[in-house]
Amino acid sequence: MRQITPPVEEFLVNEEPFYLPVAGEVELFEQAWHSRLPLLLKGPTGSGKTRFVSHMAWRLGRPLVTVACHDDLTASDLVGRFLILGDETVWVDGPLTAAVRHGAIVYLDEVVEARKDTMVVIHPLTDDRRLLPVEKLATLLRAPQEFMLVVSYNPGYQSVLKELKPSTRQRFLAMDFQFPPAELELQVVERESGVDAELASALVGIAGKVRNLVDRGLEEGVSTRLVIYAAKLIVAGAAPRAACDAAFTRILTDDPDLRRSIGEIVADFI
Amino acid sequence: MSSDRPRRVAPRRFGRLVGAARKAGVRVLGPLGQLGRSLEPAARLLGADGVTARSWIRNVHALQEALGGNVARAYGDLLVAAVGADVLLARGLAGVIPDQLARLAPAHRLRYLVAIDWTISERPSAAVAVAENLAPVLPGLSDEALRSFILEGSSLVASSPEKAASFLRGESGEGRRALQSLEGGLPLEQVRRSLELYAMAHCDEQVRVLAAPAGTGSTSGHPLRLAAGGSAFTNGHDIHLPARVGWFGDQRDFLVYRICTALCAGYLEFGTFELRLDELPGQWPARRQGELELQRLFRGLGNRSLGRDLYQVFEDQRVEARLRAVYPGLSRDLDRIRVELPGSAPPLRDLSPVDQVVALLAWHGWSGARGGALRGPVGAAAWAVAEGLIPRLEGLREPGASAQDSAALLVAVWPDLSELMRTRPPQEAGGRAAEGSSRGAADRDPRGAGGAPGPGSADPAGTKGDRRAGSSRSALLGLLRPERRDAEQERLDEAAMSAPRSDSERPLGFLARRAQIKQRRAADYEEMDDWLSAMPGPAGGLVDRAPSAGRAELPAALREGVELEALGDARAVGYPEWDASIGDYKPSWVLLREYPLQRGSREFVDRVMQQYRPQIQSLRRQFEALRPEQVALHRGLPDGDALDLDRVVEACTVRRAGGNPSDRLYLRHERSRRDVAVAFLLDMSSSTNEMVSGGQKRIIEVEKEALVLIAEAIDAIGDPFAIWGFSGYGRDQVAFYQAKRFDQPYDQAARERIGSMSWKMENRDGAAIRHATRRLLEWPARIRLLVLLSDGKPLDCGCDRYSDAYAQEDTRQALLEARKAGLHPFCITVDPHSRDYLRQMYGEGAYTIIDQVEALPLRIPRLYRQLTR
Repeated sequence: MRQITPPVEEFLVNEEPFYLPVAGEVELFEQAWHSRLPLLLKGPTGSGKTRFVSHMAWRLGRPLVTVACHDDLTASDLVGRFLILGDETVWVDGPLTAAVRHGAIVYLDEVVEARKDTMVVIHPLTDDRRLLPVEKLATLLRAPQEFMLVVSYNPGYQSVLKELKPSTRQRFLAMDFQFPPAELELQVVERESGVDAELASALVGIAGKVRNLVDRGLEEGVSTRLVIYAAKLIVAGAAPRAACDAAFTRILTDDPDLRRSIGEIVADFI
Repeated sequence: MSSDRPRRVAPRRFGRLVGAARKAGVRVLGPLGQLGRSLEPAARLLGADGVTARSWIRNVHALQEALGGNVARAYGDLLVAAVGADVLLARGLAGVIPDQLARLAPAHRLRYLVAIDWTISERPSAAVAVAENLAPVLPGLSDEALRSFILEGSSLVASSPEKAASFLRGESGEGRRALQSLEGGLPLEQVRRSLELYAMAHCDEQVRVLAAPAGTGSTSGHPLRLAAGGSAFTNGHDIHLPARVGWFGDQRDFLVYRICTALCAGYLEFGTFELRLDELPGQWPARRQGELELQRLFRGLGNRSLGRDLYQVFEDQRVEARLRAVYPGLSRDLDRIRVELPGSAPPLRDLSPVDQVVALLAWHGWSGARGGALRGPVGAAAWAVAEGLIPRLEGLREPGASAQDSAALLVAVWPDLSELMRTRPPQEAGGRAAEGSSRGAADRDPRGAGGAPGPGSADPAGTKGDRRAGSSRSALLGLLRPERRDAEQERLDEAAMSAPRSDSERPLGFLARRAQIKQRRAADYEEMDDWLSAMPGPAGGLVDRAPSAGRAELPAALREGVELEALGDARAVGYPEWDASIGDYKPSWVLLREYPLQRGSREFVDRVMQQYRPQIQSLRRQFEALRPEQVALHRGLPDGDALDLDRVVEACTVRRAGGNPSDRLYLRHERSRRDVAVAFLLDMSSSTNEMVSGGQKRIIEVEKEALVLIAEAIDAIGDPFAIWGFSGYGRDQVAFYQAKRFDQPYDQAARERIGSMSWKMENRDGAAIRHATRRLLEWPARIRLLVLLSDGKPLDCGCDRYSDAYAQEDTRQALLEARKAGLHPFCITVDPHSRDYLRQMYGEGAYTIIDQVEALPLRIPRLYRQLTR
């Protein structure tokens, strides 16, 4: 029986992804990696979690396997399955199995989106056994030293239905991601988009003010990612007001009053 | 003038007497003459219709006493005109008008009578309806708009008097729309929430935007008054804005609102209220409990209103500069408004020297002008002080300046101002017009501000400077911030809101630019007081009423069993109500508050659990069986967890045989999920207090037993559920009780909260259903079920009638809305006579009538299973 494992080259991070550390998170990640401990990144969408992980993969020279979790993700989707190819039955490794084989960093993005029973397959990987049982192959894969499991989750969506099981949560070290402080966010926006300092500062100002509306009608604030999008649009030639409308006003809410308020905040700065 | 004289003198004779005296050229002097003039219509009325004349006699004296001779005379003249047109009309008007006049602010009383007079000539058949209903909307309309509004309302009278009445009061949706289009400009209500969010985004604090009490019709006047103060002000957690802005008639009206909001939020954003008094030079009085540093500062200065005004002028400078630095776009808009608003310099002539200084500084801040043109009426001393201050004002515009600097400047210039205070104002005018400034002069009594700040000059009781204030404690309530409010202040605050007050008591006054509005002040306060005293009337939700309104009077029955701290915090939510007689919604007609229930005694729950133990056990078992444990196996999928061996073999065979095999070779195990959320809404009206016929229990007890049983059963199934109750009294006090929220576990506490549900007052079903719908929609579920437990018809006899057809139609409409939102409403009732109205309200199949109330506890679980199958 053939077994297919996606080649490691597919997962290598070859160029340095830009990441500006805020508060010692790079060191903490490295320490966790050396100690072979799994990590849970908490924080709102667009606050740099994914970027941070790929930056760290590059820094540590490890391949990075990313899985975006969703409702219908099953254990086989993670571990692997048999496929029929012609008359042959072929085993194809799932991303988790591939990551274990390559000693990669595996990143399960938005882990709460996955069903709770699915997540149980990662349990043996997260304690000191560091094992991945592949039932269908009747094997037990032992994770190499370099392997690391990172999951992310967004507490902003917290509803009773979307929470990590305590038994899953307790297996991780946690790192909090917030939107960076204005001065750093300014640098990030300038660096990522190439916009000038004055505009970057206006955009970051808008983002800061709009974030005050979270829990006052807005579910989530403007992410750093959206700020960068707006800046990129402006660099590409869009009028600043129009870029902000596209990146902030229209995207964040459908509530007309809120939209209007956000529009006015944009007008305060631009 | 003796109060009962007019009744004793036969009007006809008296009128003749006065008339004769006039003809003879005799001047009838004094009270007798006044009375005589207002009695003139007597003869003509008596001659035309005795009934009208008697009404007139009954009312005219009271009118004269309460509202003055002019109004009383105009009332008589109007009746004379009416009686000429139609006797019945005159009779109707004679009884209606006095009450309406009493509700109106002085400035609008004659306008009201003119409008009625005009209606008598244009639409006599509608005149009574107009007279009865026009008062609430009249202040907001110009004369011309008023006429078109009356015409539109009058056209409804023939077809439906109720509809016309709602329209004219501005209560119906149609009436509200007509008003909005006529009033012109931008109503605050339309943008209120946006502005509130905008303010919160700026200052990152919970603030509310409310219509300023005096706002109605006050869009005229000095532009500054609106653009940066006047009827826009904040007390630290509420931002008050004029109810309407209509200078430009285009988007710039919104810009005015936005700038006002940004300025008011700026005080919070840039720390106007954050002061460290002990770091300032001078000795300051000891801090009183609950007092803000700012209050202590003004108390220490010895003259609060002057201290407050100056501090505000300084802070305006500083905050505006900070705003401009942080918000370049806003800075541009500020410049634009400054150019486009027809600004004019403040009239300084009638002000006292200190007020002149304050006005000069404020004007300088706004216009950026040195104010040389204003020099005219300002005395040399005041001018010198102002000139000296202006450069120091500039210092406050520096980026590093804080509220501390403003306060320090205030302390530094205080001796100069105290000196100036000893100078008399340039002129003392008598009468009403000058009351504003003379009030200021009294307030700024030089004795109160004797020299340098400190305990020596401060008046120990802290009342001297505010002698007119009555209660000195509330003088600065406007500065209180929400987190520092305690119950006592809350109470005072409320008292201050509801009672007429003098100038310095005005809790909202802090940011009103006193100096600029001085000359208008007396009239404004009168208007505001009138507005406030008119508040308890059927305002119809035209104004966003503060949640505190009515809290104090929450009837004891409605408070019972409620978490005590929740009583103070409950925010009112406005809901519309459907009025079938006019075929339209009345917007924001009902105010509903939500209260969590306290845990009651264990007794009730223990008894129920004891009595129904076997039933509960079997229910739990039955319902657990419904729990979707079974895992469904889906075969024949193109992709899945595992290969389906049978299909793989089949596919291989087909291919070997030369056919085209299917690629659906996978299977997947899927757990089927129940996705039901249910809310139970218990009618807690007083009728549930009745005994079950022939039984030992009250209806509500049986209903509660039923709730406990169904809760046990649903808990076993695992569906999320909530248990709510409702009652209330009148449309301002609908109470919505929470025994178990969706996100609370069903535990002993929840059981005990069910136990503490008790019968209360009325049941206004429509509002409760609307609120329950809103709450249910917040919970994610595919199927949402709203089960209403009721014992009869919707009924609310508090202050306005909510009964019979009206109540049922509103309930039906609320249920329609719920269905439109994707809910499944269902009614379980114990009223055996309910079939007809239930079918009409809920529709076939969406209700059930339990004949034997005792059977309810065991029937409900069965029903629930059917409903969610």
